[in-house]
Amino acid sequence: MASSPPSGSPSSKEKKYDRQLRLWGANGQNRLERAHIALFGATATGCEVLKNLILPSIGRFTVIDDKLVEQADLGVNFFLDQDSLGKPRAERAAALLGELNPDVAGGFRIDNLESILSNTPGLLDPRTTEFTHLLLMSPIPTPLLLQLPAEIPIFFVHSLGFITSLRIYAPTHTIIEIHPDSLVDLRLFNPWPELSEFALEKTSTLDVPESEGGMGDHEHGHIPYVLLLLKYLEDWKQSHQGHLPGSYSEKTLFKSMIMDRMRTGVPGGIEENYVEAVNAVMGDLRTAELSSGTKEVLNDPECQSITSQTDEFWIIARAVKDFAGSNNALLPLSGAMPDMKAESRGYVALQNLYRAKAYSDAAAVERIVRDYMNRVQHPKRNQIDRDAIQLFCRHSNFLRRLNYRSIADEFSNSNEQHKGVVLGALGDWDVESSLIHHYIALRAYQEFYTGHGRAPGDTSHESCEEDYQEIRRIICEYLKGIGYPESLPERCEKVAKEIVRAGGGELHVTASLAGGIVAQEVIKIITRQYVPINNTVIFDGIGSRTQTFEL
Amino acid sequence: MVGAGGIGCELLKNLVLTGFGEIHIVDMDTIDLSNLNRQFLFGMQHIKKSKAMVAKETAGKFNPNVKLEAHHANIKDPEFNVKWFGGFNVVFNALDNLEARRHVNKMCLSADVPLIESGTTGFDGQVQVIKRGKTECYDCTHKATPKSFPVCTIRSTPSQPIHCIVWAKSYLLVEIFGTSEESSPDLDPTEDSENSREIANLKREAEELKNIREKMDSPDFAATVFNKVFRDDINRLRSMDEMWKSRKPPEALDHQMVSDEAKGIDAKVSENDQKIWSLVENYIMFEDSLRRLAERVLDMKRDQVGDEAAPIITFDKDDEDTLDFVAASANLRSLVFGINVKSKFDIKQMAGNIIPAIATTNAITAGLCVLQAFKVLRDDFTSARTIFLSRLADRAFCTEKPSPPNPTCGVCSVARTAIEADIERATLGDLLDNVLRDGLRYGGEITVMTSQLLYDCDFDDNIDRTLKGLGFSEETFVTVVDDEDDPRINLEVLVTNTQLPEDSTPITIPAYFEIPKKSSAKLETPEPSSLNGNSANGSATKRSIEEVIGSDELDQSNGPDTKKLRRDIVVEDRVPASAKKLGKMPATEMDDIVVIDDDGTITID
Repeated sequence: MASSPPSGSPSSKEKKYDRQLRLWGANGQNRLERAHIALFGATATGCEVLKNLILPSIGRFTVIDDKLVEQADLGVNFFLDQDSLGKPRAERAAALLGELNPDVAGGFRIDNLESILSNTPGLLDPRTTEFTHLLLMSPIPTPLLLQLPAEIPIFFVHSLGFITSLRIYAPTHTIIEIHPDSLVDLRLFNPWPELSEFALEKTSTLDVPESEGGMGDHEHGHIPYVLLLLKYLEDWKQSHQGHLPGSYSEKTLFKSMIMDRMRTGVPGGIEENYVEAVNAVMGDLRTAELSSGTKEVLNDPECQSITSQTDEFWIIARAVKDFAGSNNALLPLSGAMPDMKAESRGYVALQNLYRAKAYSDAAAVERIVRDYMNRVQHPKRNQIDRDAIQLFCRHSNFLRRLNYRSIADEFSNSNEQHKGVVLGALGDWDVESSLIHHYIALRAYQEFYTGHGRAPGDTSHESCEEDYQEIRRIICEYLKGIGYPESLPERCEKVAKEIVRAGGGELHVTASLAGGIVAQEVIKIITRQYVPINNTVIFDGIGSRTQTFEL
Repeated sequence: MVGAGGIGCELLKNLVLTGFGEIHIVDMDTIDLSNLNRQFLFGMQHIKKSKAMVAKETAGKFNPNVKLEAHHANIKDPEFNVKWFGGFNVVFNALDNLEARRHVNKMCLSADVPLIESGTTGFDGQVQVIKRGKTECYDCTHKATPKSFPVCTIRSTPSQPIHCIVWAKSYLLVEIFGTSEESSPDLDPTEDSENSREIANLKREAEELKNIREKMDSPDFAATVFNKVFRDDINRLRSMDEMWKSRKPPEALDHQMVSDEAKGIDAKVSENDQKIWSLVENYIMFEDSLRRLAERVLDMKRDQVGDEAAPIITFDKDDEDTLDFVAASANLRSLVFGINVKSKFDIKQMAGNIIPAIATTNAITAGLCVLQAFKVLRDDFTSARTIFLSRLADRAFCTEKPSPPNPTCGVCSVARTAIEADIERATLGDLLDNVLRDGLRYGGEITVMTSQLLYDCDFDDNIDRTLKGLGFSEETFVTVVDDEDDPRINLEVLVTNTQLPEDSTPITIPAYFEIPKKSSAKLETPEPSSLNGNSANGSATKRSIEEVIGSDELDQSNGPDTKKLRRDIVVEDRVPASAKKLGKMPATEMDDIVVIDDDGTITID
């Protein structure tokens, strides 16, 4: 699915980013280029994530790490070389990563999360911070995670041996461009007056034979199928007390009614536009309905009372809601139309009709937006972005709002929704293949690290078996806490052993793969396009599988 | 590693840091600006240099213990023969086109080397393990070949924008600035065999255009070309009444008229590549780009030395001059035929076979390739997986068990043997009599072919010709089809050219082995070394990614995002492995094969 790229003639920059502009367009690229990413922990995985963000050109990055480069780093981290040995990891990683793309500004800070939170909290204070997104590489003690501000999106990553997990937290995340397969909405059951009139006019002599002054074969075979359907729907209503063909059997009848009107004495024996009309009956003939995502957005409390603080997204959403309220519950028209058999002139005329309607719907929404903004003296009332409103209207039935559960709630042990998800996964019929065990074991790993200040199975301690027993104890306690009635699942034990054996160590392949998975989600969040994972994805490199949970 | 592009760069980094011993990199491409958003082993300073060479140089620094070898060459070159492929433990395909993928698939099957095949497009990707006799091969399922169009559709009766774009790119640009002898893969002459009169006309028109080409330095060059292709040729077409009975006839354009309208308008108005250009804007861009291209050719001609080949310009989506010319010419033709006009941005994608690409998908795909390689190197094909990546939020990717070979696959489900022949002395008769009839006990009813038919029971003209005369090279695959009742499955004979002593027979004879009947091909075979792919009952499934990769056209309505990936998830066996510090944990049944040494490298035993 291609998005619109920046306008104007292609510069060398557009050429360089051409292949990705076709995925997220100028809108997405602009957002990417305004992002400033902080990486906590210059681990192999952290550097791989950053690599995949620097290449497509985020605005800035800052690597934060307080360790020195060791021999062990060189074997797994592509962004630390022989010359880096003994030097600060943050400095060396920032330098080597910076070489990837001269368009990106890079920096480093020899520091760690704990000392920043206690000594220079302004760095992470939402009112003063320069960072737009935080990448956090495990291990990080849980209490530090809980001190992070709720206003900044965070990506917390574990990468141990062949296992990886990503936990996303973001403040309410709204998406306009989810990139659906198609934006087409033909409004065949709810045509607006101009469309009905146009259809009537173009099809007035449709069923009259040419010999009786009706339409010639050429024209007949080039009436766009949209107009055919509108015409025959009118005919159907006449013979069905004004009802539309809604059920499967009615639609089947309606199809044969269209087939009966097709001229078969033409070259080839069929008319393509009629075939297209018949093929569209099942899919395109439907009453306009709000998608569940759009319903969530329009019913969100943010929409209900507009103030001068309300974000533009919610003001436009409210305007769309009001628009639909006075428009028979119909959303603004997208204006998109599929290709169809038609004469070029006829197609363009029809396309213009859809576009004009989409334009006037968006203009109506814009008036409502203006009203609200003036009423509340919104600071942006004099810079209303018409393109943004049109984009919103075009996608108005594909909106999405994600409310991420906070990390505090996940770790509170009393969050009912969290418990429900874990117990549900443990009780699933195919629990044997579920990656929920990986989550439970990683959670125990997190708690172990928080309590002991080191990874279980760490080489500095000759106590693997003890560490394993401790992890096992933590898991049992957690399961008991969420009300799991049975004994420790065997799969949990196996994964826990694997994690202890990893000893907190990374593998390059896993790091690289995790770098791809994590960066992909970061890009979705930054560009506000496509639907990101909510809220955890686990990857198991042994089975080459992933699974997501809302934990 | 075949291909050092998006997946290739990631793969090479992973292989080097994982500590593989020796890696060969083959890629014939050079580095382009549009590669740099993901192919991180390359920088600005490497543009126009060999991908294979630069990749080796950059990645090599990170692990001096790995032996790297780069080949800036086409994987189809004869140096990469079956023996060469046979020298590897595993081959990775990180290619961007169907033809090369199929070639490597065939070579790996013949050499019996496991292949890890991969591809990406946008957020979608796929990884597949291919091993002779154990999994399906690349050709076990149907792959959509790049679209080609009948010549008459392109030259006489276009009905879609793509027809006009192909016309501009593969006909007009080629006739004026390229070498027209080159047959274009976009054009398929076979479908027009009944249309010989029109074909003759089209041939004459192309000749006329070639004559105009001689006047490239004349001031009315643009007017002459314009009137030729948008007026005279169109009027000629329009006069053929029978052609327009069920179609709208084209409307010719006149240079005088259009250029009058364009007077005083700057060529800059056409610079916006998002906008749908008007007739006049298209005209201005046509004239301007034609002038730029002609100046380039004339400059090159001035610099030409001696009997060097005449300078030519070929289409390159990143060459603005050729792209402008193709966009404007295609749109003018669309206007003539009443077809929708497209923006330059869209035309670039359609003409340039552009597939969206980003670093993240490549990183995930390459990582999965290496994880599969760990299994392949342990000969553990039961836990190898086929993986589909998608942008769907509920699951980053889907994993399934590889399908068994398709018993009707003409590429992998064949019997195999290899012989040597002195191709200058050995005749087709020697091959038929000595190898097939005496050696392998074939009857009279057989069909023998290479890429062309050599022999069947109604065609024995070639019997006395030497193999060399029949186009055999250093290494040639011969397919033998049994035409008897209850036939044997197809046989693939690999013929390697060798100097054999003058006084000996010019061809070696393989030991007889049982080739199974087609009717029993689904049964277990006792002859694993000469036969594969016969213990299968798997069904061929359509794979979405390949349909997109290598496809000629990727339009928005039918792009990769609309394709649905297969979603069935396989419940699988557990594979033991550990990450670090082996031996610290009590031994369990999970004891592993992949071991991380203290220096961070992985050894596999």
